[in-house]
Formats: sequence, C-alpha cells, structure tokens
Amino acid sequence: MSNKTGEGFPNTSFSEFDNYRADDNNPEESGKSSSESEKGKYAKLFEEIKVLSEKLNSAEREKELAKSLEKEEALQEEYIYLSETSPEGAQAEEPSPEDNPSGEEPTPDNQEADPNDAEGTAGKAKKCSRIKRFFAGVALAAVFALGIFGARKIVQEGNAAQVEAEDDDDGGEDDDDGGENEDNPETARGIYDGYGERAMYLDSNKGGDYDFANAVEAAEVCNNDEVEMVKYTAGNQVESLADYIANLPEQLQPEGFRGLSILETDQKLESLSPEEYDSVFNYFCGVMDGAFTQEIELEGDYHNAYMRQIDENAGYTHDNMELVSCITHENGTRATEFYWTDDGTANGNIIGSMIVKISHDENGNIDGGCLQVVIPNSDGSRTYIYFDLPDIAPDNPSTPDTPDNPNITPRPKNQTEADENSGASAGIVTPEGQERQVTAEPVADGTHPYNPDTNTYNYIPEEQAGQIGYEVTNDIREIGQESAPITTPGEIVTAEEMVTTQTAPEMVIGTREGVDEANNFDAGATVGTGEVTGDTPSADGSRNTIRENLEQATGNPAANPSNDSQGF
Amino acid sequence: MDNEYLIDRQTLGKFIDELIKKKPLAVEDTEELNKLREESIKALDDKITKAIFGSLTKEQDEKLNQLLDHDEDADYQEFFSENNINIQEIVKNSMQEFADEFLGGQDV
Repeated sequence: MSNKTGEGFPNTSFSEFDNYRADDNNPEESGKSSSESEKGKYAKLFEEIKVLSEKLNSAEREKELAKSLEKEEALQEEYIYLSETSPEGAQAEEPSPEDNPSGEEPTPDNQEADPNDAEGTAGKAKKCSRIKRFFAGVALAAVFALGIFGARKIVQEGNAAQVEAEDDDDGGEDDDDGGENEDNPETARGIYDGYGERAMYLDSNKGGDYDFANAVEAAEVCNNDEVEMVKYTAGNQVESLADYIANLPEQLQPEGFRGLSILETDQKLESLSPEEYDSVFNYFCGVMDGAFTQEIELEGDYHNAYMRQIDENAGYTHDNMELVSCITHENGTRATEFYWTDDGTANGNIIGSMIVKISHDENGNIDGGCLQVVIPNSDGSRTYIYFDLPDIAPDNPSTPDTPDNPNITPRPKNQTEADENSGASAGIVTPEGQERQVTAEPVADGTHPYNPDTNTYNYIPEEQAGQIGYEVTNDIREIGQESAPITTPGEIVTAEEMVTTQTAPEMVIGTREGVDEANNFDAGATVGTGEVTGDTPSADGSRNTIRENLEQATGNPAANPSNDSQGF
Repeated sequence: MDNEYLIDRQTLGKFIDELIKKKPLAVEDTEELNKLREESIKALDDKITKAIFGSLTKEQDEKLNQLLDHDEDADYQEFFSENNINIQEIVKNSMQEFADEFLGGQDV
C-alpha cells in the first residue's frame, strides 16, 4: 500500500493530532514527531481510529478506541525508547511495508488516491469496454489459478495431442449439459466451413480487437498468398461468432451457451438484444485475451462441412441450404493453438484448447489472419480427427482415405517450392479419387470483387482464382457430373446469393490440377472448396468457361483482372 | 454493455456458481437462490473493484483517468505493469478472500 502522510486526509492535520496528543500525558512528545515515517504511523493510526469511530456504535467504539490507544501507547513507548537510545534511530528506522511498500520516500505523488476519485475512476472504467476486456482476461486467469475448474492433462506427442480426461471436481457439472461435450465422441463438436458468414479477423497482437471482417477484407489482411484456408463469409458476423463460441472449451463458454451446437449458438445469439450480444462478444474477446498460443502443424484428417441446396428447384437462398460434412486432409497445415490453463500460466495444465489456422508472414510470425477453428479429438485414436456435426445433413459424402496429399499446402513463396509440393491442390478428394480445381473467370470490369456500398460481389479474377484454387461446381454431390450454373455469366451477384452458392467455401492454395488449357475443369473430379461461379454448358453440350460465357453474354472480351483484386 | 460491473459478469457468474456448488446456499426457492446469486456477483465485483482502484496512488489514478478519457487504444496491461501494480495478484487475492468468506473456511 502506498505511504500515507498526514496530508490529504480529510479533517486530519498534525495540529489536530498534536492537540489530541497534548491531551495525553506527554504533551512535549507532540513536538518530537519529526520523522516522516513516525508521522506516517501516527497519522495512519489516527485515521484508523477515525474510521472506526465513524463505523461502530458507542459501545464497540469505546472498545476499539481502547485497543487503538493501547497500540498508540505501544508505538509511543517504542518511539521514546528509540529516541533516548539512539537519537538517529527514530529517523533512520525504516518504515514498515504497510506504510511504504515501495520503499520510496512519501511524496505527494505516492499518496493514495482519494477514495472519491478512485470511485470515479472505477465508474469510468465500468463504461470502458477496452479496460473491461482486459480485466475479463485477468479475472478468468484468476479463476483458473484458483483451481475452480477441473483440468485435463494434455500429453503432447510432437504435434499431436491426446487428451487424458481427469475426474472433474466440479460436482459433475457436465451432467447438467444437454448438449455435446468433448468427452463424448458421439456428440463432440466440429467445425463449419461456410456456415459462418463472416471471417474472423484476429489482430496480430493478441489482446487487440477481435474484429469480424467480410471475406474480402479477411483475405486482404491475410494476404492471399499466405492464406491456407479461409472460411467464406458474406456479411453476418453472428454465425462466425457462434462457430467460435461453440468451439470454446466448455468451461469458457458464455453463460447459457454451454454445450450448444454451432447452430443452436447462432440461434441464441440471434435472439439476444444488442446489449446482450455485445456482452457476449466482449466476454468472448476476454476469453481469447486470456489464452496462450503456440504454433503447431496439423496432421491427419479433419471432419469438415460445406453448404448445399436442400431443394434443387428452390433456388439459392439461405433457408434452402444445408450443411454437409466431409473430410479434409490437413497434413502439414500450419495452425495456431489457443489454450487455457488451470493456473493461468503458459505451462499449467491445459483445460481446453482451440486451434485456428492463422496465416503467417515470411518470417513465420502471425500475420493477423483469421481462419477456421478446428477441434482435436478427445480419445487420441486419430490425430486431430474430430466428430460429426450434430446438425448436418444425413447424406455424408465423406471421402475414403486418400494418398498423402495434404488438403492444404502452405503456399510456397516461389514456384520451385510449388513444383516440389505438387499435388497439393486437393481439397476434398472424390470417391473416384480424382481431384480437380477450377477457376473463376475474370471480372468483367476489373474492379475489386467486393463492393461494400452495394454489398455485391463480382466474379473473381481468373488469376486470383487460379492462385487460390476456387471450386466452381456448386454441389459436391455432382462429383463427376456437370453442374448447373449458379448465376448468369456476367451477373453481379449479391452477398446473400454468394453465400448460398458456396458449397465448401474455403480457398485452397495449391497448384491447379485437372484444369485444361481452356480452363475447363475435368468432369469427374472436384475439390470441395469455395466456389464462386458456375459455368454454363454451351449449345453443343461442351462446357464453356465463365470467361467464354461472359464474352458471349456481353459481346465484349473479358477485361484482364486487376492485380489488386483479392478475395472472393 | 453492462456498466454496473467492472469484471465481466459472466466470469463472475461462473466463479459464484462454482462456489455455490461447494457450499449451497440455504434458500427456499429458485427465486431466492437467483437473488442471492446476483447479490454475490455484485459483491464480488465490488470487492475486486475496490481492491484494484484502492491500490492506486493519486498520480496513478490521474494517469488512468487520462487513459480512460482520451486514449481509445490504451494498453492497460502496460499501464499496470509500468506502475508495478500486480493486477493479476490483486484480482486473484480478492477472489480468494471472497471465496474464503463465502465458504467459511472450506478449500476453494
């Protein structure tokens, strides 16, 4: 605690104190309290007496006052002794830690803040989301440090983690959950690709603002060359927040959200008032701030999901889209693990983790990326395999085991690396074992694909699509079949339509395979990644590229894409 | 945003819920339980708030006020670090004390 002096205390002055002391039997002693530290002690004692006298009733007051007087007399005797035995002793005596913990000489700057001022500052702080977010992380760490939550040991084996569940000492709280939990493989959560409508952009400095951006903005921040996988989004941050909240360790999920599926979480978030939503959002940010991170490399396969039409004839609307699970291959995928510990330190027992694929810069530093969340399995049977989503469509076109072609290959910085890493284009391998990648066609006017003013998207430039490897087909069920066009070539689609045209809305980095010189994709193969546009069979039944369709529709040659165009 | 609380109410709620599990309150019905729970949450927040802002010197209080008033991007972690205020310890101790009082000597 800071040192206290006689100054600054209401209704306190040394003259008053001297008068008080003068009432005692040692009036001359009042003039000997020259040492600052002694003054501090007596002032503190006087203040203590004053506070007690205000609070207690007369009987208790007298009792407490008596105690304080005894204490004062003891201090006085000590002072007298020191004064008599060593004139310098009183002055040289070091202040107690209570009086001056900092060891500094009491100065006006070290004065304790006026209680009224402190209260005012506290009131301001309660209205400041930034400091509240900071305190939220601190409080959460304190909760962990106090061992409130049960911990599970994570046994690290290289990059793989097996979770060994321990008995919780929280009274069986999980039994109250009606939903999934990580200990039950049958109901554990997975991730969504494409259900979320807004990519989450994490600031490169953890602890900053966890803002939600649209896909284009996210891609711009992530720098497409570095992005390994981006959740396609359009305009609604709620669903993305739902994804992340649902994938938090249960102990960290906001009140009322524990054990909910992503869909349920989304619905609950949608039902909140703006103030309630902000509260949940701020809480989530605080949780993320309280997490530690470590860079990891993924291995193995992941359950994943994409969107498809429920009724093929009902158009591409949000209500007519359903989620379909699939498997993606993640060997070599770089990711960042957020983890929380039971003691609030980086080396404590991990009570939960969340893995997010985050882009890196050329130095290997996190580059402020935002990517999907993945959850490791809890039984350790297969590295990072996690489980079916509870609200997916029953028709699961999951793919068989594939050769060791990673789903995502870190984008090499030069083509040599790309050659060495050939075969890295696979997103989802079809049952036929073939893969394909197709590209979207250049933007007719070469403008930025996303127009925030009108909330519309243009087609993605071919070069961009080629780099990223967009999937063109609309429906993974139509693997090996011609897919119907999604939009009229040249049409500017709205964000809503873009959402509904997504099947597996991930951008895949890698080489372009299965694409012939005319940019026609090979029938019979598909990559289950984000698709942007479809193509229209020409009159003779052959498949036009979108560029060709565009040219046919407009009668003009398609413009070259801008080099600055990015995103979807 | 709830301006009544300094600490995120959800975190406080979780802490209180864990304490309640360890020492169930003698209440007659859910309404009373919820009321006591809310009061406990508020009391915990007040305790932590008092501990944090009561630890500030006058100068620190003034500096903090300036940050709150004028700096939207203030780094509060840095503020407390530079001023040698172990905010983590303060919050943890406050919560521990609260838990001790609540549980009446039981281990948290």
